[in-house]
Amino acid sequence: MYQTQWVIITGTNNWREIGSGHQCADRFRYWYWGYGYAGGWYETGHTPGLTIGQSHTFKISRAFNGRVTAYFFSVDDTYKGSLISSLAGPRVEAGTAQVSQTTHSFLHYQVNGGGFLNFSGRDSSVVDTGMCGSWLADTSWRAGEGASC
Amino acid sequence: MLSNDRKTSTESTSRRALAPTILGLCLGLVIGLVWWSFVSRGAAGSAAGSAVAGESQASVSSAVGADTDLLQCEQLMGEDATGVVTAERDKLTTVAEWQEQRHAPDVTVVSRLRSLADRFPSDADVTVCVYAGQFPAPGGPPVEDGTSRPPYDRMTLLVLPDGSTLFDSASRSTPARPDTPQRWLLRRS
Repeated sequence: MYQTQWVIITGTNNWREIGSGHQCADRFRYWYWGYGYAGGWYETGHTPGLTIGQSHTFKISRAFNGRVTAYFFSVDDTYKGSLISSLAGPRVEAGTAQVSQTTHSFLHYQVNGGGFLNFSGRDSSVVDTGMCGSWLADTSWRAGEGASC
Repeated sequence: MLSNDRKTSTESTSRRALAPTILGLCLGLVIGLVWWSFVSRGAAGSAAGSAVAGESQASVSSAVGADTDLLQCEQLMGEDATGVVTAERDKLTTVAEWQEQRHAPDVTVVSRLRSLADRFPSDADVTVCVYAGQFPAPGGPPVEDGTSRPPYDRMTLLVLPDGSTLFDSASRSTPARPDTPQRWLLRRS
């Protein structure tokens, strides 16, 4: 299961992503980051050992130096990794998916170094078979496995 | 899906009629996404230089050591987990360059292999294993119509010189088969 967020570049086949993973009956927990390219997933790093019940802030930052764009991944403001991209992209969107059980995602964004703003609106939500999810507010999404929502 | 997929003619010389089990998927994901899963490995390391087996065997001749690479990739997953479609041995520095430049200039990264310079020499061998199966790795955002994507059907792992593994990527066999360092080098030449 993944609790994740992404920035979409030039369509949904190209994206940047950071999040938490739980696998094999929750025996393995980790943070991961990387990118999607042409529909494939390319992990660029991960850290094991996250603890259930702790809250963390995941961030994907974008910077442009006039020539190339850099994306930075961080957890709790600790730098985790980066990548360089020449893709400006016709649009940049941010989204989140949460599939850890009965915990909440709180959604904020920041533009050009300003203060963090709340997400507004609930444009899209997809809940796969066997999962459940619901909006608590524009800035909060609750999700879980089965009927745990 | 898996059995149909394996009927395609250009793929593995080593495929078996295997169905991925939950245990197998779990094992694969553990190996791929959590690098602490060390494995036993058989006769590896006897071949010098680059060796390729599987999908690209026809395009890269004299696959010295290909059988041992294949065996190494198969042993990672066990007998009933999934099929190996490519087993390829390259130098560590080649694999690092491939990871860093394969999507350039669209995406450029620093390979995690660079951080292993104190553990392995740059000319150490790394085996690149591409598997067929169903791999629920991070899949990105929903597609534009709001539907979910199909699961990945290819996973690439790296076997490091000490036998530990590192997840590289998850992808789909269509429209293009997964890339490898040797294919990347061929494209560049």
